[in-house]
Amino acid sequence: MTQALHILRKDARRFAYEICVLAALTAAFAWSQIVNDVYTAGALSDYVRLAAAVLPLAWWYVISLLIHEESLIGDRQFWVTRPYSRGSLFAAKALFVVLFMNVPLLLAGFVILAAAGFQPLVYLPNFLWMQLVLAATLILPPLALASLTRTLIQFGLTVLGGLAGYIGMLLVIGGVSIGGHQVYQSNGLAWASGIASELWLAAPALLILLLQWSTRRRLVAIGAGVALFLLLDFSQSSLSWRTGTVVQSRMFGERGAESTAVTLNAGDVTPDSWAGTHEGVALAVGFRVIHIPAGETAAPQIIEMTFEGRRGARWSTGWTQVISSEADVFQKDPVPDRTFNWWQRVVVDRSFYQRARSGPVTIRGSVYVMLNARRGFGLPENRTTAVPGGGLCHVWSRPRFGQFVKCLAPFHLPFSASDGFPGSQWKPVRLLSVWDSPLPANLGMSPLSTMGMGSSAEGFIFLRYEPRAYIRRPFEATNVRLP
Amino acid sequence: MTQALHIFRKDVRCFRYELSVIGALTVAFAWSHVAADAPGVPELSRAVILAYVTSVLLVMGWWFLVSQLVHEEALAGDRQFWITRPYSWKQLLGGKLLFVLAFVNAPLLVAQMAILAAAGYSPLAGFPKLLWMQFAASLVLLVPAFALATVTRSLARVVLSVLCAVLCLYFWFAGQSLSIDIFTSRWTNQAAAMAVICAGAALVVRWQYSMRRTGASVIAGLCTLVLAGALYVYLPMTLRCVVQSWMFREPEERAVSVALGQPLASTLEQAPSAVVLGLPLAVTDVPTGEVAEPDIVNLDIEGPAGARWSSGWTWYNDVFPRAATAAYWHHTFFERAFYRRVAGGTLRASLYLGLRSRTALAVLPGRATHLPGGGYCEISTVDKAYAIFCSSPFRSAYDRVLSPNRIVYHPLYHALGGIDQSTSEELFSRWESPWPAEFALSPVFTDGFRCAAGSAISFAREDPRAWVRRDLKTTLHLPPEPQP
Repeated sequence: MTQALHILRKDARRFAYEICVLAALTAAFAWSQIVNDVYTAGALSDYVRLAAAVLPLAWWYVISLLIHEESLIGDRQFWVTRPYSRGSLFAAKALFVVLFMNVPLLLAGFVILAAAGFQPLVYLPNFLWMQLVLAATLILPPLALASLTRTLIQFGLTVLGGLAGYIGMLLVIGGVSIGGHQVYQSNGLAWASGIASELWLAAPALLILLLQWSTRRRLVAIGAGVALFLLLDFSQSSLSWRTGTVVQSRMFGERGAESTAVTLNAGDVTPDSWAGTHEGVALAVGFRVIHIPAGETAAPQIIEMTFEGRRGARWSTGWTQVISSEADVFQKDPVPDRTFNWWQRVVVDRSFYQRARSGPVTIRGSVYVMLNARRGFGLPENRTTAVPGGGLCHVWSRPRFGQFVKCLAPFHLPFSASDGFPGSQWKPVRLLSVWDSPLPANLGMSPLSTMGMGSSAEGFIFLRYEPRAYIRRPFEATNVRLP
Repeated sequence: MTQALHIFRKDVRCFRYELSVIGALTVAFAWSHVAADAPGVPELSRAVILAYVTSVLLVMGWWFLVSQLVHEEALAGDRQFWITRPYSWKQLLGGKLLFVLAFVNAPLLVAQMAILAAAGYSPLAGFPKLLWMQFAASLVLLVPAFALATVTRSLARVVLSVLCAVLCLYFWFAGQSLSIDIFTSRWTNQAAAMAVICAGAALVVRWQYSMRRTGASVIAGLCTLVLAGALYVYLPMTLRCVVQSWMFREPEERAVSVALGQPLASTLEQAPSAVVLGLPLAVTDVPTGEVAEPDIVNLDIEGPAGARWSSGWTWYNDVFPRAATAAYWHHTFFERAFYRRVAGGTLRASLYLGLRSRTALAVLPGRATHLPGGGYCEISTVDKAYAIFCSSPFRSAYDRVLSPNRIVYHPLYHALGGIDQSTSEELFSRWESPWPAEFALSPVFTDGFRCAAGSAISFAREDPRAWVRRDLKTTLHLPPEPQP
């Protein structure tokens, strides 16, 4: 530990200028968040974005310099001839990162929350989770990359090359289509996908770090890191959804929703209004959730469908998000007949479709549905109101412009959507706040989320949807004729 | 030239990995912009986000490449290998510039042509404008990077310098108490700042390559930055108007007449200690199809006892009715004690006003409406609302959306959802500068927003025609002080 502290002091002296710049950038970031106002156009919003973007870049730059100071690559470094323990060296570097990156950001977070009127110490676990996630996503990957490169130039080139490759992969494999279309999809398990993405970045980085710092064999470290990266990437979506559904099922159970079911009629399969792809035919399959408990709303999240044709022809979607080209897949209002309908968009494999369309098809599968209890209240004008989810909303009006609302919430979005689109039938505007995660904090640099909304002078209603039950329901329809 | 080509070939070999990355980023930039510029792409779609990300990464890649390129034969320091070789500094500089032209400008030009062609515009017809965009991008993005690389020894120094520059920007911005929008400014301010930066950067590059005086070059560079920043924000209004008057001269003498009316003095309930002097201006003889709009005004008041007051040049401060003959009001606040000293005195006014030709047309649903100067707008119905999409080459199709009862600025209030119930919307476009194209990396600009279905959508464009100054010699008597 003495050696680690010795190396830390040496690094602190060596990077004194860089540390000052980091501290100043962190202060600038905190200041930008404190003065940030969603209704200030132009310069301030640009400034806020710039401050939030530059700080991680500065971290990456300092991490690269820090690791390259005692480079792990090559065999001509001065430090390998000294009695350096690699454990001490690693501890010193980790301590440097914690002291000059994590701690200043933590303090900045305290100041941001305190300035917004929240008690920072109450949110200490949330802060620690936020720091953990930031370390996993923004600090571990550059640490791993720096331990695999010799110089800042190699580091920069690898980052640029990696990003170029990733974007190319998104463009080619992800299929950025020419021409867009509005689709509605569930967002219920985004937190699980988020965790998986963070793990997807952090786990290979951690493995590379461990191997590189223990063996200094670059090829082995890269090989192991890439293998783990591909393995996680391969299993990411299904693994994260499986984990997410297990966690949500345990958290909310099925109590009171035993009679709720999901049905599918043989006649409810039509061509989707948005065309399919070269490989697939787009269908819209009509589902209906029935016997929803009184006063509650349904939000289907993920679905798995299997199409079985004649002579053993079979095609499955696998677990996929609930998605529709027709209408929102989140039920906002309970209805008297206690049902909810949606048209699921399915892009069926073209060769299976050609074979199966001549005869009857059986569709079976299952779907996870969240049942939400809704409560709502009006937001009074010229007052700050505490809203469910831990946020604060303030409403005011401006002559000729109508009414405005600004909401703040620590570690989560104060609301996720609204009905305030042009031509909307909802007057006053409804702010929809949906439970979105069991995690203590969303991924972000700032602990505070700010959102705003304007409307004609008819006020705002805040609607909070709290999960009441989480159910998995099978469905089956036989003798379906594909269109 | 042989030596320059030799250095160029050496650099190509040396930076082949970097060039591959820049090439890949340029392709990704073009591809994502082609995808993002298509009609109906949602505002936060993957294509739009990738278009933005690739633009940022491409610029970062250029800075990385340029700094590496210059540092290969570093100019700061005295231990470089190359100064012991028979290198001519002009050949060295020529080799480096050729590299930038070949591997930064040329790929960007090709990407821009591809983006234009994919959006349905002819790249060859817009070639001069593309060259202008290249020139502007080089001045703004490459020349400063090149100059910075000449006064630093390593990439670490370049990054640290950039971070320090960003910090200075933060502190300066904080010192201005958020009152100045440093990210947008009039074209005259931008042109003045860019001219200074280019001159300074050229001086630094020339000094460094010819004499390698790093200390002097750093000081020159810092002075350049301070001067450019000052010009960007504080360029005198009169100088700006003089430049605009010179650029946009009056085609015929006295096309517009301006007359001063009798001033009115009043008070405000919120500020009883002040007198508000309202000065009516009547603008007449505005040519058909054009609009006139006061820009800045200077008032001189001389009191009966010799007391004098001058407003200096200030922004004109009222809203502007759009008509051939229009009455405008300019309001000035005075403390009562001072107003008593000048009441009954005389007033003189000078002002600059812009004369703009206005083209207006209706945008109808179900078909593409072609815009003057290129581009089109179309309306489709989505979710029981009108979705308006506009595409335009080399400049934004419109700057903001005007509603009859209020001004809804694009894009913030739309992003906030702060619009509804309006029955008519005007896509308003005003082009102030004489430049042939806006500064951007992509030559295709797309905009979109939603409004209530059934709204009447119109498009209006105002192009600068003349920038005129009027000195009003009329002597007027200020009214007596009003009682609160």
